[in-house]
Amino acid sequence: MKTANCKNPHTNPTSIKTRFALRFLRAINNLNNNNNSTTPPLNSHSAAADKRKRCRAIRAAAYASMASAVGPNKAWSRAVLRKIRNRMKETIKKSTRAGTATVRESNPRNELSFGQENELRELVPGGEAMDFCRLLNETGHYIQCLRAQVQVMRKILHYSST
Amino acid sequence: MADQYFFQNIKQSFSLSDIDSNIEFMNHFPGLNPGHQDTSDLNFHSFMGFPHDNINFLQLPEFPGNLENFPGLFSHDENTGIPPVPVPNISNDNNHQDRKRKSMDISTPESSSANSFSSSDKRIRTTNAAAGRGKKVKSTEKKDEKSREVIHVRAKRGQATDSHSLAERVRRGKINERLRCLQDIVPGCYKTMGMAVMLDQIINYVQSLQNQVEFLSMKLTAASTFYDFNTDTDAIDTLQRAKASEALKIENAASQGLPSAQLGLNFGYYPQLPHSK
Repeated sequence: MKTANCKNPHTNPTSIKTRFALRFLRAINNLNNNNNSTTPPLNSHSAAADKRKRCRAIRAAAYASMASAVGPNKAWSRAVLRKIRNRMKETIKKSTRAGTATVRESNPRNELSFGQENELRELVPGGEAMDFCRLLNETGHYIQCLRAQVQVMRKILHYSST
Repeated sequence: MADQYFFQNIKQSFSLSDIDSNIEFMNHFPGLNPGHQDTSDLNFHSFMGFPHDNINFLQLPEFPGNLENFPGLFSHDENTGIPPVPVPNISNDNNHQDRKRKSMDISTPESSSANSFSSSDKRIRTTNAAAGRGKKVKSTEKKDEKSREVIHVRAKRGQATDSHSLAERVRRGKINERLRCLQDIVPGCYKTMGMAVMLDQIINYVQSLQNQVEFLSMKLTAASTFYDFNTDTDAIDTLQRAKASEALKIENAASQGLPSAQLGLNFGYYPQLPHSK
Protein backbone atom coordinates (compact mmCIF):
# COMPACT_ATOMS: atom_id res chain seq x y z
CA MET A 1 0.00 0.00 0.00
CA LYS A 2 2.52 2.48 -1.14
CA THR A 3 1.09 5.92 -1.26
CA ALA A 4 2.38 8.34 -3.81
CA ASN A 5 3.43 10.91 -1.33
CA CYS A 6 6.77 11.63 -2.77
CA LYS A 7 6.93 15.26 -1.91
CA ASN A 8 5.05 16.47 -4.92
CA PRO A 9 4.74 20.18 -4.57
CA HIS A 10 3.32 20.65 -8.00
CA THR A 11 -0.13 19.42 -7.38
CA ASN A 12 -1.00 22.32 -9.57
CA PRO A 13 2.01 22.50 -11.86
CA THR A 14 0.75 25.55 -13.62
CA SER A 15 0.69 27.68 -10.54
CA ILE A 16 4.33 27.46 -9.61
CA LYS A 17 5.44 28.03 -13.15
CA THR A 18 3.17 30.98 -13.75
CA ARG A 19 4.01 32.54 -10.43
CA PHE A 20 7.67 32.16 -11.14
CA ALA A 21 7.28 33.47 -14.67
CA LEU A 22 5.45 36.55 -13.51
CA ARG A 23 7.97 37.41 -10.88
CA PHE A 24 10.89 36.72 -13.12
CA LEU A 25 9.58 38.85 -15.92
CA ARG A 26 8.83 41.63 -13.53
CA ALA A 27 12.36 41.42 -12.21
CA ILE A 28 13.81 41.58 -15.68
CA ASN A 29 11.63 44.59 -16.40
CA ASN A 30 12.94 46.32 -13.34
CA LEU A 31 16.44 45.48 -14.35
CA ASN A 32 15.90 46.87 -17.80
CA ASN A 33 14.34 50.05 -16.50
CA ASN A 34 17.13 50.61 -14.07
CA ASN A 35 19.69 50.06 -16.74
CA ASN A 36 18.01 52.38 -19.14
CA SER A 37 18.00 55.15 -16.60
CA THR A 38 21.75 55.01 -16.27
CA THR A 39 23.77 56.10 -19.23
CA PRO A 40 25.14 53.22 -21.22
CA PRO A 41 28.91 53.06 -21.15
CA LEU A 42 30.85 53.53 -24.31
CA ASN A 43 33.84 51.63 -23.14
CA SER A 44 33.79 48.08 -24.40
CA HIS A 45 35.75 46.86 -21.44
CA SER A 46 33.20 48.01 -18.97
CA ALA A 47 30.48 46.77 -21.26
CA ALA A 48 31.73 43.27 -20.72
CA ALA A 49 31.79 43.84 -17.00
CA ASP A 50 28.29 45.22 -17.20
CA LYS A 51 27.22 42.21 -19.10
CA ARG A 52 28.63 39.96 -16.43
CA LYS A 53 26.95 42.00 -13.78
CA ARG A 54 23.69 41.80 -15.62
CA CYS A 55 24.09 38.08 -16.03
CA ARG A 56 24.61 37.68 -12.33
CA ALA A 57 21.67 39.91 -11.63
CA ILE A 58 19.43 37.88 -13.87
CA ARG A 59 20.52 34.66 -12.28
CA ALA A 60 19.89 36.08 -8.83
CA ALA A 61 16.52 37.30 -10.02
CA ALA A 62 15.70 33.84 -11.27
CA TYR A 63 16.48 32.20 -7.95
CA ALA A 64 14.76 34.91 -6.00
CA SER A 65 11.64 34.70 -8.14
CA MET A 66 11.49 30.98 -7.70
CA ALA A 67 12.01 31.19 -3.99
CA SER A 68 9.31 33.80 -3.59
CA ALA A 69 6.97 31.83 -5.81
CA VAL A 70 7.45 28.80 -3.62
CA GLY A 71 6.86 30.76 -0.49
CA PRO A 72 8.27 30.38 2.99
CA ASN A 73 7.01 26.87 3.47
CA LYS A 74 10.22 25.25 2.47
CA ALA A 75 13.52 25.64 4.19
CA TRP A 76 15.46 26.08 0.99
CA SER A 77 13.27 28.90 -0.26
CA ARG A 78 13.59 30.63 3.08
CA ALA A 79 17.35 30.30 2.90
CA VAL A 80 17.45 31.75 -0.60
CA LEU A 81 15.30 34.71 0.34
CA ARG A 82 17.34 35.28 3.44
CA LYS A 83 20.53 35.26 1.45
CA ILE A 84 19.22 37.74 -1.04
CA ARG A 85 17.86 40.03 1.60
CA ASN A 86 21.14 39.97 3.41
CA ARG A 87 23.01 40.70 0.27
CA MET A 88 20.80 43.65 -0.39
CA LYS A 89 21.09 44.96 3.11
CA GLU A 90 24.75 44.64 3.69
CA THR A 91 27.08 44.84 0.80
CA ILE A 92 30.05 45.47 3.00
CA LYS A 93 29.94 43.02 5.78
CA LYS A 94 29.25 39.47 4.82
CA SER A 95 26.43 37.92 6.72
CA THR A 96 27.14 34.56 8.18
CA ARG A 97 23.63 33.93 9.18
CA ALA A 98 23.54 30.65 7.36
CA GLY A 99 26.40 29.43 9.44
CA THR A 100 24.85 30.21 12.76
CA ALA A 101 22.04 27.82 12.25
CA THR A 102 21.35 24.99 14.59
CA VAL A 103 23.72 22.14 14.90
CA ARG A 104 22.93 19.33 12.62
CA GLU A 105 23.03 15.85 13.95
CA SER A 106 25.76 13.70 12.62
CA ASN A 107 25.31 10.00 12.46
CA PRO A 108 28.52 8.65 11.12
CA ARG A 109 27.39 5.11 11.32
CA ASN A 110 24.45 5.76 9.07
CA GLU A 111 25.97 7.96 6.49
CA LEU A 112 28.05 5.64 4.42
CA SER A 113 28.27 8.32 1.80
CA PHE A 114 31.74 9.64 1.53
CA GLY A 115 31.31 13.35 1.59
CA GLN A 116 28.25 13.18 -0.60
CA GLU A 117 26.06 14.31 2.19
CA ASN A 118 28.17 17.43 2.65
CA GLU A 119 28.17 18.05 -1.04
CA LEU A 120 24.42 17.84 -1.13
CA ARG A 121 24.23 20.21 1.76
CA GLU A 122 26.27 22.71 -0.16
CA LEU A 123 24.14 22.40 -3.24
CA VAL A 124 20.77 22.77 -1.65
CA PRO A 125 20.32 26.19 -0.12
CA GLY A 126 19.84 26.06 3.57
CA GLY A 127 21.07 22.54 3.67
CA GLU A 128 23.61 23.00 6.39
CA ALA A 129 21.12 23.24 9.15
CA MET A 130 19.06 20.14 8.77
CA ASP A 131 19.36 16.50 9.40
CA PHE A 132 19.83 14.12 6.57
CA CYS A 133 16.24 13.03 6.35
CA ARG A 134 14.95 16.56 6.02
CA LEU A 135 17.73 17.34 3.59
CA LEU A 136 16.43 14.63 1.29
CA ASN A 137 12.95 16.11 1.51
CA GLU A 138 14.19 19.54 0.61
CA THR A 139 16.32 18.17 -2.17
CA GLY A 140 13.33 16.55 -3.81
CA HIS A 141 11.30 19.71 -3.72
CA TYR A 142 14.25 21.79 -4.79
CA ILE A 143 14.87 19.59 -7.79
CA GLN A 144 11.29 19.86 -8.93
CA CYS A 145 11.31 23.61 -8.62
CA LEU A 146 14.65 23.90 -10.38
CA ARG A 147 13.29 21.86 -13.23
CA ALA A 148 10.26 24.11 -13.52
CA GLN A 149 12.51 27.14 -13.39
CA VAL A 150 14.66 25.85 -16.21
CA GLN A 151 11.63 25.12 -18.34
CA VAL A 152 10.17 28.55 -17.85
CA MET A 153 13.45 30.29 -18.49
CA ARG A 154 13.94 28.30 -21.64
CA LYS A 155 10.52 29.29 -22.83
CA ILE A 156 11.11 32.94 -22.06
CA LEU A 157 14.38 32.81 -23.89
CA HIS A 158 12.71 31.18 -26.82
CA TYR A 159 10.03 33.82 -27.01
CA SER A 160 12.32 36.72 -26.50
CA SER A 161 14.76 35.74 -29.13
CA THR A 162 12.33 34.98 -31.91
CA MET B 1 5.09 19.27 11.00
CA ALA B 2 4.56 16.37 8.74
CA ASP B 3 8.14 15.51 8.95
CA GLN B 4 8.26 15.25 12.63
CA TYR B 5 7.48 12.07 14.27
CA PHE B 6 6.73 12.14 17.89
CA PHE B 7 8.58 9.43 19.61
CA GLN B 8 8.46 8.17 23.05
CA ASN B 9 11.32 6.99 25.11
CA ILE B 10 11.14 3.84 26.98
CA LYS B 11 11.68 4.52 30.59
CA GLN B 12 12.31 1.11 31.84
CA SER B 13 14.71 -1.33 30.43
CA PHE B 14 13.51 -4.40 28.74
CA SER B 15 13.80 -7.38 30.83
CA LEU B 16 12.84 -9.57 27.97
CA SER B 17 14.99 -7.96 25.40
CA ASP B 18 17.16 -10.97 24.99
CA ILE B 19 14.33 -13.16 23.95
CA ASP B 20 14.23 -13.61 20.27
CA SER B 21 11.03 -15.27 19.54
CA ASN B 22 7.93 -13.20 19.57
CA ILE B 23 5.81 -16.09 20.47
CA GLU B 24 7.59 -16.45 23.70
CA PHE B 25 6.78 -12.87 24.37
CA MET B 26 3.14 -13.55 23.98
CA ASN B 27 3.31 -16.24 26.55
CA HIS B 28 4.65 -13.83 29.05
CA PHE B 29 1.81 -11.45 28.67
CA PRO B 30 -0.48 -12.58 31.41
CA GLY B 31 2.39 -12.53 33.81
CA LEU B 32 3.36 -9.03 32.96
CA ASN B 33 0.14 -7.42 33.80
CA PRO B 34 -0.16 -7.08 37.48
CA GLY B 35 -3.39 -5.28 37.02
CA HIS B 36 -2.68 -1.66 36.91
CA GLN B 37 -5.75 0.35 36.65
CA ASP B 38 -4.20 3.25 34.96
CA THR B 39 -5.67 3.33 31.54
CA SER B 40 -4.76 6.04 29.22
CA ASP B 41 -6.66 6.45 26.06
CA LEU B 42 -3.57 6.31 24.04
CA ASN B 43 -2.56 2.89 25.01
CA PHE B 44 -6.02 1.57 24.91
CA HIS B 45 -6.57 2.72 21.40
CA SER B 46 -3.19 1.69 20.27
CA PHE B 47 -3.70 -1.76 21.48
CA MET B 48 -7.17 -1.98 20.28
CA GLY B 49 -5.69 -1.75 16.90
CA PHE B 50 -3.70 -4.86 17.33
CA PRO B 51 -6.28 -7.43 16.53
CA HIS B 52 -6.98 -5.69 13.30
CA ASP B 53 -3.39 -5.51 12.44
CA ASN B 54 -2.78 -9.09 12.92
CA ILE B 55 -5.63 -10.17 10.82
CA ASN B 56 -5.59 -7.88 7.91
CA PHE B 57 -2.79 -5.59 7.23
CA LEU B 58 -4.62 -3.45 4.80
CA GLN B 59 -7.12 -2.47 7.39
CA LEU B 60 -5.29 0.56 8.49
CA PRO B 61 -7.77 3.22 7.55
CA GLU B 62 -8.27 3.88 11.18
CA PHE B 63 -5.77 6.63 10.74
CA PRO B 64 -6.51 7.88 7.30
CA GLY B 65 -5.43 11.37 7.94
CA ASN B 66 -2.00 10.40 8.93
CA LEU B 67 -1.37 7.75 6.42
CA GLU B 68 -0.07 10.16 3.90
CA ASN B 69 2.62 11.20 6.18
CA PHE B 70 4.11 7.81 6.31
CA PRO B 71 3.98 6.44 2.87
CA GLY B 72 6.68 3.95 3.22
CA LEU B 73 5.39 2.35 6.27
CA PHE B 74 3.14 0.03 4.50
CA SER B 75 5.43 -0.88 1.77
CA HIS B 76 7.35 -2.94 4.19
CA ASP B 77 4.44 -5.03 5.09
CA GLU B 78 4.89 -8.32 3.48
CA ASN B 79 3.32 -10.61 5.98
CA THR B 80 -0.12 -10.53 7.29
CA GLY B 81 0.33 -12.60 10.35
CA ILE B 82 2.48 -10.41 12.41
CA PRO B 83 2.81 -10.85 16.08
CA PRO B 84 3.48 -7.71 17.96
CA VAL B 85 6.57 -7.29 19.94
CA PRO B 86 5.55 -7.09 23.48
CA VAL B 87 7.71 -4.86 25.47
CA PRO B 88 7.29 -5.09 29.15
CA ASN B 89 6.53 -1.57 30.15
CA ILE B 90 5.15 1.54 28.76
CA SER B 91 5.42 4.85 30.38
CA ASN B 92 2.15 6.58 30.13
CA ASP B 93 3.41 9.89 31.34
CA ASN B 94 5.66 10.31 28.39
CA ASN B 95 2.90 10.45 25.92
CA HIS B 96 3.14 14.14 25.71
CA GLN B 97 5.35 15.19 22.94
CA ASP B 98 7.54 18.16 23.30
CA ARG B 99 10.42 16.63 21.53
CA LYS B 100 10.97 13.74 19.24
CA ARG B 101 10.28 10.50 20.96
CA LYS B 102 9.58 7.02 19.94
CA SER B 103 7.25 4.47 21.33
CA MET B 104 7.29 0.80 20.82
CA ASP B 105 4.57 -1.72 20.76
CA ILE B 106 4.68 -2.27 24.36
CA SER B 107 2.63 -4.36 26.55
CA THR B 108 1.11 -2.17 29.09
CA PRO B 109 0.61 -3.16 32.61
CA GLU B 110 -3.00 -2.31 32.23
CA SER B 111 -5.72 -4.73 32.66
CA SER B 112 -7.83 -3.36 29.88
CA SER B 113 -5.16 -3.79 27.33
CA ALA B 114 -4.36 -7.08 28.84
CA ASN B 115 -7.77 -8.17 27.81
CA SER B 116 -7.24 -7.04 24.32
CA PHE B 117 -3.96 -8.75 24.31
CA SER B 118 -5.34 -11.97 25.46
CA SER B 119 -7.94 -11.83 22.78
CA SER B 120 -5.40 -10.97 20.18
CA ASP B 121 -3.19 -13.55 21.67
CA LYS B 122 -5.09 -16.40 20.23
CA ARG B 123 -5.45 -14.76 16.90
CA ILE B 124 -1.78 -14.04 16.75
CA ARG B 125 -0.96 -17.59 17.53
CA THR B 126 -3.19 -18.88 14.86
CA THR B 127 -2.05 -16.50 12.21
CA ASN B 128 1.50 -16.95 13.17
CA ALA B 129 1.22 -20.63 12.99
CA ALA B 130 -0.38 -20.32 9.64
CA ALA B 131 2.02 -17.80 8.23
CA GLY B 132 5.49 -18.61 9.16
CA ARG B 133 6.51 -22.16 9.50
CA GLY B 134 10.17 -22.59 9.54
CA LYS B 135 10.76 -19.23 8.03
CA LYS B 136 11.57 -16.04 9.71
CA VAL B 137 8.57 -13.98 10.45
CA LYS B 138 9.93 -10.61 9.71
CA SER B 139 7.70 -7.88 10.80
CA THR B 140 8.20 -4.23 10.87
CA GLU B 141 5.37 -1.92 11.16
CA LYS B 142 4.92 1.63 11.97
CA LYS B 143 1.56 2.83 12.88
CA ASP B 144 0.49 6.33 13.40
CA GLU B 145 -1.83 7.36 16.12
CA LYS B 146 -4.37 9.90 15.31
CA SER B 147 -4.44 11.44 18.69
CA ARG B 148 -0.87 11.44 19.82
CA GLU B 149 1.26 10.90 16.73
CA VAL B 150 3.24 8.18 18.28
CA ILE B 151 5.16 5.71 16.26
CA HIS B 152 4.91 2.11 17.15
CA VAL B 153 7.70 0.03 15.88
CA ARG B 154 7.97 -3.65 15.79
CA ALA B 155 11.34 -5.14 16.06
CA LYS B 156 12.31 -7.81 13.69
CA ARG B 157 12.81 -11.25 14.86
CA GLY B 158 16.28 -11.76 16.06
CA GLN B 159 17.10 -8.11 16.38
CA ALA B 160 17.81 -5.96 19.32
CA THR B 161 14.91 -4.20 20.81
CA ASP B 162 16.56 -1.47 22.72
CA SER B 163 15.44 2.01 22.01
CA HIS B 164 18.56 3.12 20.22
CA SER B 165 18.62 0.48 17.58
CA LEU B 166 14.91 0.82 17.05
CA ALA B 167 15.33 4.54 16.64
CA GLU B 168 18.09 3.87 14.20
CA ARG B 169 15.91 1.50 12.29
CA VAL B 170 13.11 4.02 12.09
CA ARG B 171 15.48 6.65 10.90
CA ARG B 172 16.98 4.42 8.28
CA GLY B 173 13.52 3.48 7.12
CA LYS B 174 12.65 7.12 6.71
CA ILE B 175 15.81 7.82 4.79
CA ASN B 176 15.24 4.89 2.51
CA GLU B 177 11.74 6.05 1.83
CA ARG B 178 12.94 9.50 0.92
CA LEU B 179 15.57 8.03 -1.32
CA ARG B 180 12.90 6.04 -3.09
CA CYS B 181 10.93 9.19 -3.71
CA LEU B 182 13.99 10.92 -5.03
CA GLN B 183 14.55 7.98 -7.30
CA ASP B 184 11.32 8.80 -9.07
CA ILE B 185 12.22 12.43 -9.38
CA VAL B 186 15.77 12.13 -10.55
CA PRO B 187 16.18 10.54 -13.93
CA GLY B 188 18.76 7.90 -14.24
CA CYS B 189 18.19 6.24 -10.92
CA TYR B 190 17.52 2.59 -10.83
CA LYS B 191 16.08 0.58 -8.06
CA THR B 192 19.14 -1.55 -7.78
CA MET B 193 21.33 1.34 -6.88
CA GLY B 194 22.64 1.72 -3.44
CA MET B 195 22.47 4.86 -1.45
CA ALA B 196 25.89 6.12 -2.43
CA VAL B 197 25.30 5.77 -6.15
CA MET B 198 21.92 7.37 -5.88
CA LEU B 199 23.32 10.29 -3.96
CA ASP B 200 25.88 10.71 -6.69
CA GLN B 201 23.15 10.84 -9.29
CA ILE B 202 21.17 13.31 -7.26
CA ILE B 203 24.16 15.57 -6.81
CA ASN B 204 24.97 15.42 -10.49
CA TYR B 205 21.44 16.22 -11.41
CA VAL B 206 21.22 19.21 -9.11
CA GLN B 207 24.51 20.50 -10.42
CA SER B 208 23.41 20.07 -14.00
CA LEU B 209 20.17 21.93 -13.30
CA GLN B 210 22.03 24.77 -11.68
CA ASN B 211 24.40 24.92 -14.62
CA GLN B 212 21.45 25.09 -16.94
CA VAL B 213 20.06 28.00 -14.98
CA GLU B 214 23.37 29.76 -15.26
CA PHE B 215 23.60 29.12 -18.96
CA LEU B 216 20.07 30.31 -19.58
CA SER B 217 20.56 33.43 -17.57
CA MET B 218 23.65 34.17 -19.61
CA LYS B 219 21.66 33.84 -22.76
CA LEU B 220 18.87 35.90 -21.34
CA THR B 221 21.14 38.83 -20.57
CA ALA B 222 21.56 39.48 -24.21
CA ALA B 223 18.10 38.51 -25.34
CA SER B 224 16.18 40.34 -22.68
CA THR B 225 17.84 43.70 -23.08
CA PHE B 226 15.88 44.71 -26.09
CA TYR B 227 12.70 43.00 -25.18
CA ASP B 228 10.00 44.71 -23.30
CA PHE B 229 8.21 42.21 -21.20
CA ASN B 230 5.48 44.46 -19.94
CA THR B 231 2.92 43.83 -22.58
CA ASP B 232 3.79 40.23 -23.10
CA THR B 233 3.40 38.96 -19.60
CA ASP B 234 -0.15 37.99 -20.24
CA ALA B 235 0.78 36.34 -23.47
CA ILE B 236 3.36 34.16 -21.88
CA ASP B 237 1.01 33.28 -19.13
CA THR B 238 -1.71 32.26 -21.47
CA LEU B 239 0.70 30.25 -23.50
CA GLN B 240 1.93 28.52 -20.44
CA ARG B 241 -1.52 27.87 -19.30
CA ALA B 242 -2.39 26.52 -22.68
CA LYS B 243 0.47 24.12 -22.57
CA ALA B 244 -0.23 23.15 -19.04
CA SER B 245 -3.87 22.68 -19.69
CA GLU B 246 -3.08 20.36 -22.53
CA ALA B 247 -0.96 18.33 -20.25
CA LEU B 248 -3.61 18.33 -17.63
CA LYS B 249 -6.25 17.31 -20.09
CA ILE B 250 -4.25 14.33 -20.91
CA GLU B 251 -4.06 13.47 -17.28
CA ASN B 252 -7.50 14.41 -16.16
CA ALA B 253 -10.54 13.55 -18.12
CA ALA B 254 -12.66 16.27 -16.66
CA SER B 255 -11.26 19.59 -15.76
CA GLN B 256 -13.83 22.12 -16.49
CA GLY B 257 -12.23 24.98 -14.72
CA LEU B 258 -9.39 25.24 -17.16
CA PRO B 259 -11.06 26.20 -20.41
CA SER B 260 -12.99 28.92 -18.68
CA ALA B 261 -9.81 30.17 -17.14
CA GLN B 262 -8.24 30.30 -20.52
CA LEU B 263 -11.13 32.19 -21.93
CA GLY B 264 -11.14 34.48 -18.99
CA LEU B 265 -7.52 35.27 -19.43
CA ASN B 266 -7.69 36.11 -23.03
CA PHE B 267 -10.13 38.96 -22.81
CA GLY B 268 -9.95 39.16 -26.53
CA TYR B 269 -6.19 39.13 -26.34
CA TYR B 270 -4.85 36.76 -28.86
CA PRO B 271 -1.94 34.72 -27.73
CA GLN B 272 0.53 35.90 -30.27
CA LEU B 273 3.77 37.41 -29.34
CA PRO B 274 4.49 40.64 -31.08
CA HIS B 275 8.01 40.83 -32.28
CA SER B 276 9.12 44.09 -30.94
CA LYS B 277 12.53 44.62 -32.36
